[in-house]
Amino acid sequence: MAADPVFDLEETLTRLDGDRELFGELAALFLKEYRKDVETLRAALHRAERGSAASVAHRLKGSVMQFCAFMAVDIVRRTEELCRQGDLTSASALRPALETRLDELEKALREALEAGRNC
Amino acid sequence: MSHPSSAASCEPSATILVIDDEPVARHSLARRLAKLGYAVHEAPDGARGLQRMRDLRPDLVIVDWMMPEMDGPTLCEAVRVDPLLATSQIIMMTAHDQPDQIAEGLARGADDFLSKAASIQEIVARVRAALRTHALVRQLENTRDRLDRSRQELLAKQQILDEDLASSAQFVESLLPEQGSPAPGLRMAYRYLPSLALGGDLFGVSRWGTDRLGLYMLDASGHGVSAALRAAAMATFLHPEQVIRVVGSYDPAAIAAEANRRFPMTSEGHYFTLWIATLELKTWTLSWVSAGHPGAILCRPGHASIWLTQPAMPLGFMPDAAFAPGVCRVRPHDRIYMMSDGLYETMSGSGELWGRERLQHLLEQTAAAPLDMVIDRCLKESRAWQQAKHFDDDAALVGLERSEATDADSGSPQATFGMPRGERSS
Repeated sequence: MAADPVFDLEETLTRLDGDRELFGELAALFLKEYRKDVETLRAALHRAERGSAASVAHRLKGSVMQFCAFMAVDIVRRTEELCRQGDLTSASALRPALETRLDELEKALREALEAGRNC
Repeated sequence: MSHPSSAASCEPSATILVIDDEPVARHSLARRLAKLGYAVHEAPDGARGLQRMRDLRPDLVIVDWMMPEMDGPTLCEAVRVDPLLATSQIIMMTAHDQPDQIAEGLARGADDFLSKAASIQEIVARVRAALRTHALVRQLENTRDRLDRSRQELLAKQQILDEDLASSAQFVESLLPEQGSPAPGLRMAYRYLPSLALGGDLFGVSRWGTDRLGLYMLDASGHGVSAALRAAAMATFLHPEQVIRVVGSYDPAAIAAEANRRFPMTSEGHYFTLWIATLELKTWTLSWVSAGHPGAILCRPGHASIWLTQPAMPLGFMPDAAFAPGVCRVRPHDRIYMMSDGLYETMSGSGELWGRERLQHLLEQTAAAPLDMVIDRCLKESRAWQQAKHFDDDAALVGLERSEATDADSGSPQATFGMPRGERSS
């Protein structure tokens, strides 16, 4: 199967020893939690809280890495680095693109979960 | 807590705590470890992780490096200074793979590292290695705890023994004569320094009848309470009432012969040495016997000193042994020193004996000094030779000095001659 442009399901399952049930749990957990992190990041950037923004970006990065969502990982990592460097203006400018990537990931994960239920 | 879902584990009972603020990664790792058969617990931050460690005492902790508030390295530092947790095994998860960052993590208390992108094979390998180390550490801790308990028990027993020894030493000291003048015209001073282990040296100076002084210095072989008790038993036998009742006279040779019969060598090979004498206070005649004991020395101003001792078996070796008496007169200003061999059998660091000759030389050198000062000086020099705070053996030195002339000294030719059967010094 070709790598999904949003996340790599095959590689994700390989890392999980092919455990689809665990994949389902992780995807559900991500979908439940990530919006809180996005909101926290938005608020931290708005308040110019460099440390908090870097911290939540780091946590988001850890989450999306679990799904081999490389494009999302890349943009979250750049956001984290900009926050650590104190360049919150650039980080804020990047945020819409980041949220778009995360929205794409959410959609792809929901589709994968739906597909799994139909198997 | 994630429950094990597989029996295929290497350490089924091992407990692992995963600390990570990122819930997806934390749950992913926890579930994979649970599938391997481990009992896995989770904590969402460093502070709660630390508390879970105290509650659970897990076999292994896997902690994320980067977390808000308390990060992984800070948690490691807190663990290493906590006596209950200090030996915990900690694997730090990190995306950092730079040597200086790894070094920092190790310096701050991590035992190993795990990449967040690690394969399941690598996770298993590192977890198993950490658990093996943890098992060894626990084994060492258990051994240490057992040793600590044994040490406490030994210390408690040692305290009881020390109290027994102190009590025995007090009893032995209660048997010693009172300092001062034991008879008119006679001064006495002594020092008695029992060794740390309590020995069997004991001496007596007391009136034996109206006009007679009984003197003895005895040494029960060995150390400890046993030797002290045997010395006390001999001292009881040498009480004047007991001597008269059992021996029938105060003759030192007869007393030594009876003591020889009554105190045979023990089955452990313990025996006595004894120097015993009577000093007739009307004539100042000293009659003495030595039974294997280094004895006493007579120091006379202007004359060479005389050792009041003869070659003889210690008590208890031969039931019918006889002990040849020696007789001498004690002149005004003469001094008699009785001593235990522990006084002069001190070894220097190079193994050289201080010895009787040095003691004798010192006694002669200090003949004009007050008696108690001489005694203190002898003990000080002997101990300085040994370069130790305490004597290895009991050390006792008793000095008796006749003060002024009496009627017994005038017109009696015997009052001026020396000691016919003593061991004349060179």
